[in-house]
Amino acid sequence: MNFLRKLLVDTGRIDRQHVQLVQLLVLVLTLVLFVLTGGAPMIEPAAGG
Amino acid sequence: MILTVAVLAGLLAGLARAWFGGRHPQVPQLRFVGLVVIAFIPQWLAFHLPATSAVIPDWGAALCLTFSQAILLLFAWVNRSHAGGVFLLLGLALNFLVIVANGGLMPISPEAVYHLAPRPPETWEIGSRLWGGKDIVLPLHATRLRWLSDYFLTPRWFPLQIAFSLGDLFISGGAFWLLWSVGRAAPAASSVAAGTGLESKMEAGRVGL
Repeated sequence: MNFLRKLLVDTGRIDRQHVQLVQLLVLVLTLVLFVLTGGAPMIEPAAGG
Repeated sequence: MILTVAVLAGLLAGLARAWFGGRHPQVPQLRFVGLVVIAFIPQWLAFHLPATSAVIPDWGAALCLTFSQAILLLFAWVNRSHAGGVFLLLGLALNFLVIVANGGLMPISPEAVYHLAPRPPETWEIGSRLWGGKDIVLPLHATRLRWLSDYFLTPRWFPLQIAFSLGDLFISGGAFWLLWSVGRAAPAASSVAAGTGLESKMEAGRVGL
């Protein structure tokens, strides 16, 4: 996350006001991937397996 | 899918908390997020990508799942100090335990499968992977740590029929809590300084002057 901030801000690709938005997006995507990978619920097949 | 709902609910709750508190969101700084992507790849190959999941045998899928969970455990361990981090770690550890204890796949009982899909049993058989997913159908008496398996079921009146584990509940709760913490108040400058020992150094400097 710090790496991302340095990459975006220090290179001038994005201003500081939008860094938190990008970090929040990365956090949500990370958590979605985490729960999909770490969790193991089985859902009825008609609902998508 | 149901776990993704917990993430989205946590995000909405965290943003609402920040908004009602008149604060900017405080995004937790997770470490080593790349580990989650690395952990996802074996599962993507074994369970989601049709070209590879069709040719990977059950033992290969079990290996992929176990490896993937081990990487995630590492990620959860290094981030355990965040809000909800202990719940994420605990949930993952419980799922990992029951998966390893039962040969590398998450056990589910025939009764639970029948609850999910009350159809003739030709679509699954005991001792095999269920519908090409992470679960293996095992009778309860043959399941090690059965209370940690996909043992719990949503009630019949619930719109979606799901079999889930205790670990899944902890993971959902941890994800929700972590995102809820986005709406917390920013740590005060004095407490940050105290946490880093800066305050005492400043005090010492003042005394020295």
